[in-house]
Amino acid sequence: MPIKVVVADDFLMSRQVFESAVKESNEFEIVGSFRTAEEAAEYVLKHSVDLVIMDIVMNEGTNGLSAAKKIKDGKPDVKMIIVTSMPEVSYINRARQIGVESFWYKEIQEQPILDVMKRTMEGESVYPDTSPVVSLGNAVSTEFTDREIDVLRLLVDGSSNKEIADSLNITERTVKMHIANMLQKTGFRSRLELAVKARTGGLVIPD
Amino acid sequence: MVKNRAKIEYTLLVWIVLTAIWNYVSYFFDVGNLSTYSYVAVLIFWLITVQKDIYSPFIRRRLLAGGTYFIVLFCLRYIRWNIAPDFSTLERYCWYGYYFPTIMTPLLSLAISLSIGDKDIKKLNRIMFPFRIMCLFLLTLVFTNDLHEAVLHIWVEGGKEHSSPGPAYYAIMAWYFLLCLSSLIIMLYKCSISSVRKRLWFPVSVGLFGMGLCILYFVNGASSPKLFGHNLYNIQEAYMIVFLGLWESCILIGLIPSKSLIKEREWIKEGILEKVGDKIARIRELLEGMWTCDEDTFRDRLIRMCCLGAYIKRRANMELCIDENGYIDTKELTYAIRECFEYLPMYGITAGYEDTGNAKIPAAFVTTAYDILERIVERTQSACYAKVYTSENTNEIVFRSLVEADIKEEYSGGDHLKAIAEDELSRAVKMLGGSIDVHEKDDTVYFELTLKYDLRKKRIGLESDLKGLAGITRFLSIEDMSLGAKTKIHDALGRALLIAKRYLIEPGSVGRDAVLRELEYSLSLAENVSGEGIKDEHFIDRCIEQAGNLGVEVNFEGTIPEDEDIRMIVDTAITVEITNVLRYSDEKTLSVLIPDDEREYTIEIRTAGKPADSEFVEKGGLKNLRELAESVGGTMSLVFEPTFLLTVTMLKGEDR
Repeated sequence: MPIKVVVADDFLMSRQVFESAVKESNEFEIVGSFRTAEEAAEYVLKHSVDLVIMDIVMNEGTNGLSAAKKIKDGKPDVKMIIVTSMPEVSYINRARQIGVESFWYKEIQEQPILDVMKRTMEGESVYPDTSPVVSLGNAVSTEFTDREIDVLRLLVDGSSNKEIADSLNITERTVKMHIANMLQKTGFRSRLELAVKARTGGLVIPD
Repeated sequence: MVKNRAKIEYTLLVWIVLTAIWNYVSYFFDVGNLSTYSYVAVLIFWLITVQKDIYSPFIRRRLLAGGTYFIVLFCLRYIRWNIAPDFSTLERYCWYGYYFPTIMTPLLSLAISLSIGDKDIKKLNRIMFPFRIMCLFLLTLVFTNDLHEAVLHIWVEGGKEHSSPGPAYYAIMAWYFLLCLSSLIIMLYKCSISSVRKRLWFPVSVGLFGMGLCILYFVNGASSPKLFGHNLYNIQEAYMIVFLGLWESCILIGLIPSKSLIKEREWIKEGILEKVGDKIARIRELLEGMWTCDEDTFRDRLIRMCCLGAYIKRRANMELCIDENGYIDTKELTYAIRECFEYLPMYGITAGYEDTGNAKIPAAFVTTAYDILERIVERTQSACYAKVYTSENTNEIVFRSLVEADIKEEYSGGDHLKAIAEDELSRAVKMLGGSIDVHEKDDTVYFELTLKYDLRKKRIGLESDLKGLAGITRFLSIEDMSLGAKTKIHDALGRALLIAKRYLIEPGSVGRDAVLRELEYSLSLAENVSGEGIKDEHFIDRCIEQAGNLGVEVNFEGTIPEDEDIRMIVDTAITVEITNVLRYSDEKTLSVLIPDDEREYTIEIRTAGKPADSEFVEKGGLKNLRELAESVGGTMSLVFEPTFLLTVTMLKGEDR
């Protein structure tokens, strides 16, 4: 009996890639292909599905991680593969916390998606060894500390220095220091430039 | 109300009322009854105004026909009572002739009501076909009544003519009332979803008044109601009031477009130039000396012109997208921001935007947000950011823009950024019931425009406010000339911007002269938005040359249309497809075919290439093109596989 697969991605090309991969194998069968995470989650919770391939960032509605949590809460047995082209650093950890079995970067494609699907169904958890490295001005993403990324995330969200300090339980002075460090590493002129570049580069994507 | 048309309406009303009074008074005083002559004169006057003023040939012909039938009716009445010998065949056939407008005018009314806002003539003809057959059948019954007396049983007794209705008589009356009522309901519906719905009460009142007179006549035993023993009116006048009154009132409120209405909308042309005129002037200033300047200056000026040009183009496009209720999709603001931000990296400015959610909101909010963003961008030194989001929980639309507090030198030395919050743009937002907040924190200035809006409701009664605020345009239900004018700005500038961008990104791919020629041409079109069609016989050659400058090969086959409006549509279609090829296709080729046909123009444009990555949504140029084609009674279709095929079909000549 073929494994029932649902695909959720707002990009038609991406959905077609996954559908083509599934057609190559007799093991899998596409039972649903959706443009939004919400529609996919709704379908999965109401129907019998074995595997879900879910993109994270979608143009409309909730993101794939929220939908993944909803699916896992409702049907923990359904296996999930999160796919993304965004190098956002927190996605892998968040996917692990939700209990997503596997994670796949569309751009890098460490291994073919069909392999990831087979290994996931065999009970393996397939996660990339590292996140993609993103250039940010004169620096690369691996040069930032975890705390700097935390500060950057709140900066991208539009928070002031005081709001960042309150959220992270640090002083405003410390926040300014982290921002100054990042500006020095990247060579950017201002915090706004840093935030916009981090956002447009996909390093930090607010929910 | 259409002011020019209102004068005609008042004249008709006064004329008809005075004639009706004269008609009644003539029973008491020996003043001669000139009512028939007067009604005929009213109808002739009305027909002349219809011939001159009504924009749509389809509606104009039917109104003229209806008016003519009533003239014939009054003439027949005159002949019957004043010329034809009593109980003669002539007298009887004059009587039968009364039924001609009774049967025909409801059919005309139905056709008119169906055609409002719908230009698919073929579809209309298909719908009307069975009604025409029925009409023919009823007319045949009437004029062969002598053979079967199904309509009227007529006999002479005691030197008087008597009649009693047959079954076909009731069928004709049912036909009349059902079709008139259907026309009224269809007109009512179309009015309710148009920009003139607030004036719906007027044609409804007039139509119901006329039908009320008819119903009173039949309830009174097919006889005119009397006052002091004399007829208040005759049934022929009641029929005339239904037809003439209903459709004239629709013309008056603007539901049926007239040239008087379009003349009043000429301010749209001025409105566009008022909003973008200073940008066009600045582009003109930048163009001075560009033919001979050095490369660095050329590039710097070109980038600035691109930013200005993008603003003009998107601003004009917003006007095209505003619906008849004065609302626009928030996506249009996103597209405008995206295009504006495309050029900023060339200046070394980092720009980012986000949008979430999608809603139809008052256009004034969108245009104001975009105008404020444009001012922010002008002052930016190195980074800016914009976000549009809607919240169904709080029922708010928010436009947020961030810019560094350290703005360009020429703007510093004063609260120039905060001053934006105080000027007429922000007053516009406040008049809508929105708010604007500008504050600085951590070397960043935050602009936030918020509008509390009930996203469940489409109409929130702001139309009167919008009229003043939008400044350029509001209710554009059928605005052929304005549509053409605004499309011209959008497409001409679009082409120029594409060529300029190619020059900037791929130096050597396009010559400076080609870029400057295209900019000059697009500017001259933008400045002269008269809605005139493309007069240049060599415009296809120019299209091909411009496409070549963009790296797109255009293969043309067929006949260039002589009609200038159609040429404009061809030009627009090619421009739209060039843009799409550049964006989405691997193969940069277009095949354009305009086959020779007696009845219609067909434009077929094929491109090879992969389908779009995401679900296809018709927007921008394609949306404009569809509206243009439909404005002249045409259709547009898209096929994606095996290759992309765009087909636009329009009827030739008066058939449109």
